[in-house]
Amino acid sequence: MSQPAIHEYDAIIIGGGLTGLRAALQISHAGISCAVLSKVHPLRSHSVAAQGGMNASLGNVPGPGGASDSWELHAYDTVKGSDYLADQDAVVSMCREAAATVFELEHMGTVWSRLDDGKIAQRPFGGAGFPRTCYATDRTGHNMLHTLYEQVTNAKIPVYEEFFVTSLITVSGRCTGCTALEIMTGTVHGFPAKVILMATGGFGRIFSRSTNALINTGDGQTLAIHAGAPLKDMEFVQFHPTTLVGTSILISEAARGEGGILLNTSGEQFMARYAPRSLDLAPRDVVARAIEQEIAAGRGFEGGCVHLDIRHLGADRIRERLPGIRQLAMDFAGIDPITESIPVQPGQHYSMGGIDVGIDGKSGLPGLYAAGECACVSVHGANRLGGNSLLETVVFGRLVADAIIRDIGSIPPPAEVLAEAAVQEMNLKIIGILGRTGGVSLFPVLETLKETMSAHFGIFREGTSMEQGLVRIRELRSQFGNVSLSDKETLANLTLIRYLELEYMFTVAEAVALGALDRKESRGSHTRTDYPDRDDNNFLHHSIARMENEQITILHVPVTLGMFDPQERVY
Amino acid sequence: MLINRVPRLACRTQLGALIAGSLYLTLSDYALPGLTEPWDPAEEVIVEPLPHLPVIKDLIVDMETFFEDYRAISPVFKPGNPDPSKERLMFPLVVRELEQYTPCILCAACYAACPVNRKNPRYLGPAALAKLYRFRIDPRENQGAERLMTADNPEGWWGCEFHTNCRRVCPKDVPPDKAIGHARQELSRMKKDQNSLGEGQ
Repeated sequence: MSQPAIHEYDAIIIGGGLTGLRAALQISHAGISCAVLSKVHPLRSHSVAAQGGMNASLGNVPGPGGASDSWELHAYDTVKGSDYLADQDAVVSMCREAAATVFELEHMGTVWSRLDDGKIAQRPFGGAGFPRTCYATDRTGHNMLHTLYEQVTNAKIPVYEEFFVTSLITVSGRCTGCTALEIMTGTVHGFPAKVILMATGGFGRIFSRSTNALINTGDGQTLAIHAGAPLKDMEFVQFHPTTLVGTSILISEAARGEGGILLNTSGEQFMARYAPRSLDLAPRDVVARAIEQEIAAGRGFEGGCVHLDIRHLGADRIRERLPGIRQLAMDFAGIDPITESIPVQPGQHYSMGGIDVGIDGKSGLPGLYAAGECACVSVHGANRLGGNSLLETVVFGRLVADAIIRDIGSIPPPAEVLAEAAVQEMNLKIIGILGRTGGVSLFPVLETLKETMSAHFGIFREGTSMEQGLVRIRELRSQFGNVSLSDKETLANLTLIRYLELEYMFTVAEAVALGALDRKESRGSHTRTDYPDRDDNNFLHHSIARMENEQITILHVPVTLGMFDPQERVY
Repeated sequence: MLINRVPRLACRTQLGALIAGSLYLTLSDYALPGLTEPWDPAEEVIVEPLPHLPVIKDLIVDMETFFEDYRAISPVFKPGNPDPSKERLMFPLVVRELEQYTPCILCAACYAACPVNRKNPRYLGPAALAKLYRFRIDPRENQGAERLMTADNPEGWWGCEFHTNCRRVCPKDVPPDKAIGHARQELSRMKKDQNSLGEGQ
């Protein structure tokens, strides 16, 4: 075994999506040494797939009756959308920063779609009282990510591409670095650092039908809880109402924002029965439940879906505003939305829960910060509004970087020797995995886990079914102990990466299951048929998942209220 | 999905929706996206990694030289004036022109399909040139033809032979050949103007 490769920086950012790149820019501009570690090239991060847009109360488009938008109204929609589980101080921070953040990206060169007067265009989105969603046709995340990558490249910030983080290094209750496997060579590297910023995105791939990239396996959440940083509100998983049947590829909410409607087999705009005022632009939890109910009642199309009709928008508007989703429908379903309706069904889309952090991004483990989808501040509570995710990534990428810049001066440098030991330990672990023979193969275990999560922890949940699901997760985890890999090479062994990801996925799956069982009410995305109502007396709290001796336990902490008192949530 | 049906074949896949641009390969000697092509399993097809780039393993290529070319054109927005308090105004027609080039996902399909890249590894290639042109026509930059000078040489704009493979293989319908044509015209016009100015003195 050769000498361990050790790279020391003041700050290590894990994840090369919008949050990670925005934070890296800020930290680097402050003169602090930092590097980005990403398991894929940054431009392949899941941020690139965000279609619809980014919310900010610019007020470029007048609202109903000519009313003008404000950050307070944005905050109200966000809190109501969250089913009153969001922390209102965090929501206020995000919504106040929103406009400046859109302008900041514009100043860095992001190409936004424009109105005839030259200002940034805004479109209506689900659960929002105003046309508040700034967009770049239907590839907003793509335009934003390329801009930030251009800036990071220009700033010459080191990016360790295709480095898979294998462990966090902790000493005396502080995070002092990480180890990472260089995927293409099989070498394990050590990264001692004063602080680690986790920006690894969501965990959608623990479900069988998901719009998420294959890389979204909850790596950051699992690394954090194992190192001693609790997770929060893991039971709140967003199911997007409209994903393409067969492939679960996202069909943006922008399709409904532009005027698209959902139809059942009778040709009925059924959302009128579920959300009489907001109709097809009700929030995602409401629309996803409605679609599932239509299908369950026998009013769905073959293959378990409803139709999304945008034909009435006309060819010009579809080509101009929704070119990406048209292309996806043509490439992956053989359907041109200009002439045919798109067959859609709900699919897992977003993780509201994540690493428990405050507005400054500090986790429960000193030295470990988190931001973006892998974190839970919480700005989304029990249900995220469309357009608030891109906003969160860039706002908190910057705010948390500012907190790191403030804190870093008082943190002593980490000991290199600990990183060397951690690298050796990880090398032994990998040799052990690759050396295993016989046993079961990896992919059936992975597929069964995903199916279990979708069957028992999907849109509608019920106590007995979830208990069975939890038992199944644990059985699968013990089978996982016998998995051996057919590919024994160290060079570019992507099967090994899938194995290490699956190991992470089990922890996340169990945290989701335990949180969902513990929460005996229905709120936002978490719908229990055995507890159909929201119960503010007993459950207006966050669920905190902690790990001790490899066991996860759930505790409760209060929600931060403020501007808006909890009310019945109708749309 | 073609590739997922081949066990133990190392390849990069992230989204599976032609959005992230991580998986490109050649089928029958032609660069194609690896995900949407229908495939009859009874039929034998030759699947190969992208050419002109070193192979790491199976279908995985080292993209470093492709990204070196990307970095060579200084791919970052250079504003022509100080940041205003709000957004710089841009008009929809100009944005429509720009949006021909911004969808590029840097997948290197054009780079692999380009006969000039095959002959001359120093040629910047269609993706980098299209990116450079995207900044040139961004009205917020206001640098004029200066932006184009970076590639005013045989390894840049003047290397293209207009085979137009780049446009045909692009999964996002970006037209690098069009960008290259416009850039050449603009540079030629500029040089002609400079010459006639020189003669007049």
